[in-house]
Amino acid sequence: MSEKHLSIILNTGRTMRQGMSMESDGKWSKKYFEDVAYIELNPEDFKTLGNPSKVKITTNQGSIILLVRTNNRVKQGSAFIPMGPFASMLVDYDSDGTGIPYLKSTKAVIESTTEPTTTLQDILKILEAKVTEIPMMDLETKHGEKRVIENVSCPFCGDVCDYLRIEVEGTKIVRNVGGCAISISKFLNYNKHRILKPYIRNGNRFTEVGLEKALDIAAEILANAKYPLIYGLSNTCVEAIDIAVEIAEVTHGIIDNTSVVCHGPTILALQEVGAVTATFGPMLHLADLVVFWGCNPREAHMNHISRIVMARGRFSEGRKARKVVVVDIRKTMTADFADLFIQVEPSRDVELLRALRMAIKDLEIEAPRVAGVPREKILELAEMMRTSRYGVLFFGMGLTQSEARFRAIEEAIKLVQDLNEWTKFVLLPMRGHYNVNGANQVLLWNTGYPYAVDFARGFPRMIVGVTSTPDLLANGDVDAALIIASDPAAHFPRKAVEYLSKMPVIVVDAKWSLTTAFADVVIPAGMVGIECEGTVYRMDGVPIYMKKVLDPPPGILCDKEILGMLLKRIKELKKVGI
Amino acid sequence: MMIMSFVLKLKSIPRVLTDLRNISPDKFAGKNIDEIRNLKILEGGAPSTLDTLFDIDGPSIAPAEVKTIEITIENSVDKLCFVGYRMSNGKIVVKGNIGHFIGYKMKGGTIVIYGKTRNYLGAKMVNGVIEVFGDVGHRVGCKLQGEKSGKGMRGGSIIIHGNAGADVGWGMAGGTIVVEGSVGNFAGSDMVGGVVVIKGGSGIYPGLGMVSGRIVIGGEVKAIVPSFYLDSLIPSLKVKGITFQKPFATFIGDAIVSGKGMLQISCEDNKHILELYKDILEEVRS
Amino acid sequence: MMEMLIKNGIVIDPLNSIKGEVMDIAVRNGKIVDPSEIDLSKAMVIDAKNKVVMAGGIDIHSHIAGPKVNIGRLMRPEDHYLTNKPHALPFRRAETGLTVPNVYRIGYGYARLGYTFVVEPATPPIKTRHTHHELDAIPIIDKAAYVLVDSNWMALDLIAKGDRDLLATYFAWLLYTTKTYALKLVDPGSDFSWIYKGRGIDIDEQIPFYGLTPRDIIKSIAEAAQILNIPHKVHIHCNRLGYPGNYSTTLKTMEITGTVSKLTPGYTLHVTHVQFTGYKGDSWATLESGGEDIAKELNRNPDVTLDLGQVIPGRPATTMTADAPFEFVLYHLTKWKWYSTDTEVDSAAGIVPYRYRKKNYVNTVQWVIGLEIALLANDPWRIFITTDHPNAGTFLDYPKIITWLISKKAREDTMKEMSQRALKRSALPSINKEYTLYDIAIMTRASPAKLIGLEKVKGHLGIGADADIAIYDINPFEVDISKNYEFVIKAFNRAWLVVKNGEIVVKDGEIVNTIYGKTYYVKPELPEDLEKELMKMLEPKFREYYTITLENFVIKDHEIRNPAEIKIKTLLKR
Repeated sequence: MSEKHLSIILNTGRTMRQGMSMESDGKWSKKYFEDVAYIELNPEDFKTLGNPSKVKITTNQGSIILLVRTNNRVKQGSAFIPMGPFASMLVDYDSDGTGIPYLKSTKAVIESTTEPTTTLQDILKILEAKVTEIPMMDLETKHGEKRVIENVSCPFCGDVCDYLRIEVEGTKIVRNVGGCAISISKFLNYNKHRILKPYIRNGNRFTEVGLEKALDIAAEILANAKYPLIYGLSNTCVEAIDIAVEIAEVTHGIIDNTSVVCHGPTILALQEVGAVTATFGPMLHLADLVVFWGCNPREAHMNHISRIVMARGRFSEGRKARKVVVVDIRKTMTADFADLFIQVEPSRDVELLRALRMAIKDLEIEAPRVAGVPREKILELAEMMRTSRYGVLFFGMGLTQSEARFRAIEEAIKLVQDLNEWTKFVLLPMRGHYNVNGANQVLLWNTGYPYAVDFARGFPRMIVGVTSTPDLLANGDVDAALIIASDPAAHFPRKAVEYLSKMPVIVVDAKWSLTTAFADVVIPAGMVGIECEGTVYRMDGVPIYMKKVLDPPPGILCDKEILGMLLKRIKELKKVGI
Repeated sequence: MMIMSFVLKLKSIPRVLTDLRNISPDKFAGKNIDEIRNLKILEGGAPSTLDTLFDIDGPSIAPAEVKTIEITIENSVDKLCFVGYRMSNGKIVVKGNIGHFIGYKMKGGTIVIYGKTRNYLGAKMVNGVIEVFGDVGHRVGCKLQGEKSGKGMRGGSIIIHGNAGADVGWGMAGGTIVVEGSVGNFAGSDMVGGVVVIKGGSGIYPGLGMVSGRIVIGGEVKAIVPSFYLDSLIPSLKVKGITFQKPFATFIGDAIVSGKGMLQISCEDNKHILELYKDILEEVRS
Repeated sequence: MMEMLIKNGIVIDPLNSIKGEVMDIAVRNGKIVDPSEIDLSKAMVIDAKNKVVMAGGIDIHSHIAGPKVNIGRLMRPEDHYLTNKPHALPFRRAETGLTVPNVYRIGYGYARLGYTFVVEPATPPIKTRHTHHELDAIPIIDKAAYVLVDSNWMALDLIAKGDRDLLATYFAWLLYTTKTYALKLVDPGSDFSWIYKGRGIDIDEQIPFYGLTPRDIIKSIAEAAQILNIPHKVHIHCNRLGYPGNYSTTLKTMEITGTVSKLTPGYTLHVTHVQFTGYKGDSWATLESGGEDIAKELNRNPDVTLDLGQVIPGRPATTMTADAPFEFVLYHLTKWKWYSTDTEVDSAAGIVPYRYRKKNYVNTVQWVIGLEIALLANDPWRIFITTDHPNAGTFLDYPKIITWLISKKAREDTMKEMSQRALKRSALPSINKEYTLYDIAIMTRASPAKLIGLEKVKGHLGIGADADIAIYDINPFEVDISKNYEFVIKAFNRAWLVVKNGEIVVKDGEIVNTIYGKTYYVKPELPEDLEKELMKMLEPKFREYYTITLENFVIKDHEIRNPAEIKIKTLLKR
C-alpha cells in the first residue's frame, strides 16, 4: 500500500451542529451540507496522508470524496463522519440477521485526492433519485399577537423536556426558554422549508394537487401493493401511529419504526433477558454513580445531563455527590467532564462488559487486558459499581450499533441484573427521537411486537432479518412504501436507499426531507408538539400529552387526520370498510 | 422404493417475499396434480396459488408415502421462503438461490440447494439433512428471538459448502452443523448441545453463553470472551469425520453461565488470542 | 340502537334474587327495559330456550393494560409465535399472545367468555396516561383502573405528617387527575423501600427514611378512603407476597379493619389474589396452605372482601406486579428473564415469566389455597374469581375455576394429576361443598358490581341496567353440572351470545362486531378551599419530586376515548 493510503475504522454518529442544521435549515441546505459532508481524522493520520484537504473514502459499498478536518478526539486508525447521506453511502447494509446495519466500525480505506468533493446532487444521482429539485419554500410567518405558552414539551429527542416556555408573536416563534440549542433551532425555524401543498410526481418534477387527489393516489398505491411497507413514525404522536398500525393490518403489509436502526438491538435484548430500569425520578434523587456507555448526551441529548446529573435531588446533592464515568471508543465531549474515562476498543464492549460481570462475581480474569482496558481498571470500575448506593448506566448507539448489536446490550443488562445482588443499579437506553419509544409502545399493545411487524398472514409477526426495514429495502423485498415523519434516505445505508427509487413511495412529512427525492406522492403534515397535539412517550416510558403553540399552516392537517383519511379510502378499496 | 418426482419451474419471478410453505413432500402427499397446482401461496400478503408462479410437472397423483416424494425447484430465486417447512420425509432439490426459512422446523427428509440461501436456514430443525452448495445467510439452525436457549436446532445435520453469516447454531440443543468456509459473529452462542464445525474462520465471540456442546473452528477467530478458560492443547483433532492435522487449543466455557461447553480453536491461526493467555499456556503445557 | 327480546332464557340474576327462572329480557337503546315496551314487529327476537342468561361478567382484578403489561408483551415473543388468530376484517382484528396478549385478544377473549367489564388493578400515577391508551384500545369491554398510592412520596409525606384530611384531599385530586377508580396498595411501602434500599418489608417493619410501617400506611389510606366515600375503597396486595409463612401477614392485614372507623358505606378493605399471600410453613419444602385460617378470618370479619388469584396448573404464566422486591426473588428461582423498574416517586414493578407444574409440590399447594378459601367461605358475596391474570394463570381459564367450585369431581380429576404429597397436607380433598351457578353468578357478576359501586347499572338484568348480557348454552336443570362438568367448561369457554350496550358482539362463541366500551373513573368532590390548600402544598413538592410538570401530569378529559365519570360526594368539609 502506498504511503498515501490508510486503512481505518469509520464511525458515524450525531453531532450537535448536524442536529441543529437538520432542524433549522433542513437537509437540502448548504448549512446542513457543511455540517455533514466532512471526515474527521486524527492529526497523526492526517500527517501520514500528506495533510490533504480532501480524501477519497472507499468501503465495500462504494467511494465518496469529502473535505478533511482534524480532531484530537479521533483515535489513530479511526475516522468520523457525521450521520447523514454522506456517511450512508459508505456503510454496509447487512444486518447480521438483527435488522440493524453496520452503522459503526466500518472498514474503510482513505487516500488523498484532488478530485472534486461529492455533492448532494452527486449522491442523488448515484441513488437514482426520482426528483432532484424540490419546490422548497418557507412558510411565511406573520407578526401579530404576543402569546406565551408555558410547559410546552419539546419534540426533538427522547428527553422530551416538558417545561419549555415558548413565546409567539403572531405566527412567528420568537423565543424558547428552557430548550437546548437544538430545541431552540427546531422551534424558531419551524416554518423553514415546509411542504406546503400536496404533490404528485410527474417525471422528475413535482406537480401540486389537491389533498383529496393525493390521498386517492396514495390509497391506490397501498391497496394494490402486495407487500407495502409503512416506516418511520418516531416523529409523530401515538394517536397517529395507532392508525398506521391499522393501515398495515388492512393492507397485509409491514409496519416498522426507526428503532430498527437505533435501539432495536436494545429491544431485542429485552426480549431475551428483560432489564432493570427506572424513570428519571429515582435517578435524580438517589444516583451517586452515573455511567455513560457509548453515548454522548452533550451533543445528542443536551439537557439530559443538567436535568439528571447536575441537578440536586431529594436525597442527592447533585453533581458533587455523583461520580460520572464515561466508557467510549474516543474521548467525547461528555468524557470531558467525567471523573473516569475508559477507552474501549471499537466493537469490543461485550468483552469489557463480560469482564466486569466476572469481576462482580469474583471470577478470575485470565487475560491482563480486555478490549484494550487493563485488568486493574476493570476491577476498579467493578468495585465502584458494586459499592455505589444507586447506580445508573445510560447507553446509546455506541453499544447498539456496534458489531455485537443486541448482544452488547444483553451483556449490559445482565451486568446490571448481576449488580442488583449488591446494590441498586439500573440502566436506561438514550432514545433518539422524542416518540420512538411511543412507536414501540403502540406497536406492542396492538401487535405484541415493538417494531418490524408484518401482517402478511393476517396476524402480526416480527422476524428481524426478514421483516426489518433495512433488510427489506436493501434486498428489494417490498413493492410500495409509506414513509411517515422520518427520513430513511438520509440515514439508511446506500443499498437500502437505492431501492426507494424502484417502487412507488408516499411521503407524509412537515418538511422537505431527503426521502422526498424518492417520492411519488408528497403529503404535507403539521408538526407534532408545535402545530399538532398528541401523546408521546419519553425515553423512560413517561407519557406526555404535547400541546401545540400554533395552528398548522392553512390547508395542512395533522398526521392523525391524514392517516385516518388514508385508512378510510384503503378500507373502501379493499372492501373491508363498513 | 419408487421415487415420484415433481418439477417446479419458476415461470414468473415474484417481486416480494413469497411464502411457499406448501412446497413440501408432506403437503404434496396424496394430492392429485391439480390440487398441487392449487396449493396456496402468499406473495407478500396477497394470496395466490402455486401454479401462478410455477410450471408444475409430475405424476398425476402424488403417493401417500411422503418418503417417496421428491420435489425439484428450477430457476429458483431468493424471494422464495419457507420451502420445506415442517417436512417429515422425502427430498427437495433447489436449483438456484432461495430465500429465508428453508427447512424451518424440519422433522426429516433431505433438502439440497445448489445456490445461496438467505436467513434462518434450518431454524428449529428437529431432524433431517440440509446440504447447501453455496453461501448461506445468518441464523442457521437457530432458535427464534426471545426463546430459551435450547429451542434451536435439536437434531439432524446441516452441511454448508460455503460461508455462513452470524448466529450459526444460536441456542441449538443437538444435531450437527458443518461449514466448509467461514462464519460470522456469535457462532454457537447460547448452545446447550450439539456440534458446530467450522473449517474456516469466525467472527467475534463464538460460544457466547454456551452451556454445553462443542464448537470447532479451524481458522482465525476474531475474538473470544474472557469467560472461556484455557483447558488444554492438542496436536490434532477429529470431529464428525473431519480431520484437522494441526494443533488446537481447547477452551471450556461459558463460565458466566457455569457452562461446560468446548470451544476448540486452531492454534496457528489464533496467536493473537493465545498471546493473552501466555502465562497460563505454560501451566497448561506442563 | 335497536330493540331486542331475549325469550325463554333461564335467567340467573342474584342482585334481583332470580334463581334460574325462565323469563324474557328486553333491550332498548342499550338498556334493559320492561318487555312490554318492545315493539315486537321491529325487535330482534332471540330464543334462549335451554340456555342460561346472566349479566355480563365483571373482573375486578386483571392486568390488562399499562406500562408493565406492555413490557410483558415485549418479553414474551415466544408466546406470541404459537398463538395467532388471523383477522376477519372488518369485524375482528388480528389476535396474538397467550399470557400477555395484544389488546384485541384481551377484549375479544373476555367477550367470548361473556365478560363485559374488567378492571386493571395497578397503575402508577405518572404513567397512567399509558394505561388509558391501552384501555382505550381494548375492544368491547368496559374498564376502570386502580391507582397505586402506597409508595407515593406525596402520600407518604402526608401520612407521616398525620394530616388525614389533606391526605384524603390529595387522593381525591389524584383519582380525578389520573382518571382512576380506587386506591391500590401493593406490598405497602415496599416499593419505596425497594427503590431506596433494594428490599421489601413486612407489615410491622419500618420503611427507610419515613419510619412508617405498612400497617400505618394501610390504616391511613383506608381511613382516607372512608372520608372520600369512594365505592371501592382500598384494594390491597399484602406484604411478604410469595414468602412461606406470609399467611400471618394476610391475617394481620385483614384485622386492620378493626382499627378503621366505618364512616361511609362499602367494605373497609379488599385483599387481592389472596392465594399468593396464603402460605403457611417456613420454607418451600415445608410449604402448606394457610387457606383454612384465612377463610376463618374472612368468615369472622364482615368488613373484608377478597379475590382468589387462583393458580391454573400445567399452564404458563407471566408474573407481573408492582411488587418489585418479590419479582427479584422469583428471578432467582427461575433464572431466566427478569424485568424491574423504579417508577418515579410513585411505585415500582417487576416481570418474571413462570410456569405452574402439576406434579410440583409448591405449585400444588398454591393451587389448593385459592380453592380452600373459596369453598370454606360462608358468604359467596365476599369472594371473587380471579387468577390475578396473568400471574397465576390467564383469564381464559376462568371456566376451569368455575368447575372446581361447582364440582367435587372436577377437583378430584385435577387432583389425580397433582402432587399427592402436597394434597395429603391439604384440607381440599375432604371438602365436599359444591357451589351452584347462582353462586357463580354472585361471584362473577352481582358482587363485583356491588364492590365497585355500580350495582344500579351493572351486574344484573333488572330494568334500568345497562344491556350487558351473556347467554351460555347449558341448561343446569337438564345437565348434572357436578358430574358432567365438562359441559360447563364448554359452555362458559364460548358464550353462545353476548350483548354489550345493546349490541350483539359475540355469536356462537365468535366475535361479530368490534365496538368500544367505557372507561369508568371517580371524581370525588373537593371543596374549593381544601383544593387550594392542597395545590399550595402540591405545587412545590411536584417541582421537587417529579421530573414532569404538574400541568403535564394531569390527564385531561378529552384524553379518554369513552369516559364515564362517577361523581362522588365526599365527607370533606371546608
